[in-house]
Formats: sequence, C-alpha cells, structure tokens
Amino acid sequence: MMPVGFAEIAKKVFEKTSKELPGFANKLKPESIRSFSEADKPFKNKEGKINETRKSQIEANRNDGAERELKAKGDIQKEFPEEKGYKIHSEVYLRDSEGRIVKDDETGSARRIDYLVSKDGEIVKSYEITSKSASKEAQIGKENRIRENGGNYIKDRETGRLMKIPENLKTEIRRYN
Amino acid sequence: METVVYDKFSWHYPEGQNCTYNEAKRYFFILMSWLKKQELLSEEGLESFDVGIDDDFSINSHMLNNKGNLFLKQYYDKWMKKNSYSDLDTNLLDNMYKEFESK
Repeated sequence: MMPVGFAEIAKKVFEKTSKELPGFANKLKPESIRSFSEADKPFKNKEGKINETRKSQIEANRNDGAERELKAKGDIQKEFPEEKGYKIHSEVYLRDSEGRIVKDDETGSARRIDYLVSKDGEIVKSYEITSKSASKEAQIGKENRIRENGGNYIKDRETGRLMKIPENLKTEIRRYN
Repeated sequence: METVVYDKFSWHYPEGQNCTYNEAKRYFFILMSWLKKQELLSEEGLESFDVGIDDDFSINSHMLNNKGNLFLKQYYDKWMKKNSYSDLDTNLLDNMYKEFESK
C-alpha cells in the first residue's frame, strides 16, 4: 500500500485553497509536492531569498500597465482634441451631489473611472482601460450600483465644480495588449 | 493639469502576472502608508487613502504634494525594481528619501 504522503495531503489542500494562492502557484502540480522545502525551491535562490524573476514582476506588471495606459491616453487625446473644446478627466471618483465619494454597499469600495471626457461642461464619454483578457464585470457591476445609489457626479479638479454624468452614459471598456 | 499615473492596482491585479488581489493591496497599502508618514500626500491623496485601497486604486500626481511628486518621479522606478510582492523594503525608501532630501 502506498503511504499517505505530502503529495496526497497537498492535493487535497491545494484543491480547496488554490483560488487564494498567488498566481505563480498555479504552475505547481500538487502531486509534485513531496516536501514543503522542495516545493519552495523554484522560487528561491541559493541564499534562500526570492528569485530575481519574481522580484522583477512588480516592475514588469507596472511597465505593461503603463504602456497600455499611454496608448489609451494617446488614442483618447486624438479622438477628443483639446482644440475642439474637449477636456479629459482621469482617475476620478464617483461622488454624490454633495461631492462625497460614494461607496458600493456590496463591496464597501468606491469607484474610480480611468477617463471621462467632457465638452462645454457636459460629460460625453467614459472609459475603462484594461488588458485583452482581464475581466471587468465586477468593476462595472460596482459602478452600476454606485450610480443607482446617487454616485453620478465627478469633481473637475481645475474648477472644483461637480459635473453630472448623464444617466444614459455608460462606461466603455477599451482593451489593449 | 496633466495627470501622471505612477502606478495602478489593476496593472498588478488582475491584469498583471503572478500577483494576487491581497498582494496588490498590501503593496499599495505599504507604499501609501509610507508616503503619508513622510507627509508627501496632498489633500486628494489623503482622501483616497481614507476611502481605501481596492482594485480601482491608483497613485497619481494629484494625490501627492510637490515634494511627493518630485520624490516619486526620481525614485519610484528605482525602488520598485528592488522589491517583490512578498518582500517590500521600506528601509530602502527611507534611505532614498534621505538621499533625496540631501540634494
């Protein structure tokens, strides 16, 4: 009879908790975990410190995101030029008519929109920028609930004035590589 | 006024690789706590931090005062490169800030 080892235990635990594990753990096969120190090896160097590949992950993720943002911003600026009276508002919270940031009852969090475009004091477009594959359902769901709950305004940073988002204006998702 | 986005939660999670929601949250919490402690946040930055860190969070130029913007422009890339999600070094930030102030 095969003894019950780490592999069997790991498989059971892994199946239960894999959703909470860091992304890099998805590459692990539970059957291969015969000891915890062995399982940790791929992620550590000789000194027992985290590998450089993992270390540079923050930089890689940030740079990829910044690149997408740059492309998106360029596209929006081209489509809505300042010379034609358009104004771009970025990273703005949804607020109520008193200017307070509105939080979603379900998640307890606020909604910050990537880009809103206005012209003559009216908001005409709203954009969320993301990668080709990331799901934005949760954020759009949150936005809808916040708007139903009175979070229909943004603050113009230059004037300090509140601007109302038209009821029928929905945030469009733009995806970039 | 041009907005400079230094970093965004969503670039790390869910758009990035090898980063969980909790790791991204911890990363931004540690960085924002440090910026607050050094009094480098603007009124908007303090308001954002007070609202909380979630998947819509970002650090942008409106959230920092002049000194904060100057510091992040010069040192954020250098600091970020030397960290991992599981090993964030605020002592390094302290040292970089000392260097920044001595210039």
